[in-house]
Amino acid sequence: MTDLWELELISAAIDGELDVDEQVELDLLLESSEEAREFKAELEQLDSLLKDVPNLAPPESLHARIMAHAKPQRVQSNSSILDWLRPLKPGAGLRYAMAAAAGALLAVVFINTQPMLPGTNDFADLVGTMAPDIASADANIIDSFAVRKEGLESLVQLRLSGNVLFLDIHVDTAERLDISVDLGGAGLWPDALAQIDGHFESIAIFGQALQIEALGTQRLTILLRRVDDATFAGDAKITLEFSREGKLLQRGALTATLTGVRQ
Amino acid sequence: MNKDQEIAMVTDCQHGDKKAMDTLVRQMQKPVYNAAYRMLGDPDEAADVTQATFLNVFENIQQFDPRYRLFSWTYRIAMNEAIDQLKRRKRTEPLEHSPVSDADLPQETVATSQLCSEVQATLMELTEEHRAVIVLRHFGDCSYRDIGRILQLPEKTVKSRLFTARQQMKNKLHQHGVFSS
Repeated sequence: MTDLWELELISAAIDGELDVDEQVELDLLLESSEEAREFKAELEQLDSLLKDVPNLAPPESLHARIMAHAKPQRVQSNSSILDWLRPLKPGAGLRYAMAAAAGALLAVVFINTQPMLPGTNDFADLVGTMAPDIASADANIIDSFAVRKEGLESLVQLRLSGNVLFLDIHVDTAERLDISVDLGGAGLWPDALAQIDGHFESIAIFGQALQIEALGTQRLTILLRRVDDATFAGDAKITLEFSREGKLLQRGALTATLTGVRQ
Repeated sequence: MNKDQEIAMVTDCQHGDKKAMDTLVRQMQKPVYNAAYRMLGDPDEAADVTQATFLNVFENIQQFDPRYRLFSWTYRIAMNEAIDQLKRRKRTEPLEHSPVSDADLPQETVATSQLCSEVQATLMELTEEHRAVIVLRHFGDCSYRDIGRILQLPEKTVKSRLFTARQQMKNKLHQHGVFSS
């Protein structure tokens, strides 16, 4: 057995990285070649040997050393997409009223999702593992509603994971779609964009309202926080509107009791 | 820690919450330290690299892309820090393997300690590129996709590099009398 491809196939099999076709090829190879079986056994032995090497405990003082030097980095404007959701965080109910009254003066934050990664330093192109599904098994769906129209399917869910509240918006639309999300009166404010799958045309934040333009299959998860204000006791109501070219397609609402949701 | 908890923790860190930063370090310092140690073979340098990694994480936490997993991002910073440390070491003195002594590993038996030393010595004989894929796959339990993203390599390259690295590991361990084929 001298074929490099076959050797790499066996190596990948040790890592559980074969697709269905490759697995079939491997099974045939192992059935027909004693050499292949021996090579696989050797790699399994190596894998087992490396598994026997225990993890080392870091020095006991390391944690304290790190924390002694760690400086909290407060949110600064124009530093990332996450920041852009926060400048309009209200601190008290009065501010909501004032903000509503001064709607025309309200700052509008516009997020174009294309240049999401900042390009100012070495970390701009950092990548990692795509979360296959942000919804945790232990998360509770508090409320949801689905939209099914011609050329449009959407599912919106309000989800509590621990004491953290998430709003998930899944959308599959053949034509450009406008989604308005209104948290006004919900006692909630958008804290962070937790996940974006797909390329949203735009996401704009107007205080407690979000305006989203979508096209194609996309998913957006927003982390919500409870407003630190006793006047917003009781159930939260989030209203959503789906429209195309100014024409309303569907209106819906989600409600949740905010007890236990973190501020 | 599931993805939701991770997002909440990152958000808290972005808010400057020291408790969240503390939790992040507690949860990730061991895998980061181990990856650094496997790359460097020196416990003191591994501790320095681990510290530098977390300070880098906190300094750049505002730029963390929430589409990705925190551990991948942290691992990539750690691997870059470890490689930088190897370069600094090359500039100052020849690479010399300094294994963890038995005294540094009080919880392990001598036999296990010997195995650790042999494996570490063998790892240090590999090139940085081959060592990195072995460390991430076997000690970091990363998938090919994760490794590709951490090291900025196509998955196909990860696959072939792992194969070559394993062949070298196997042969060198055989020479050290640890591996029987």
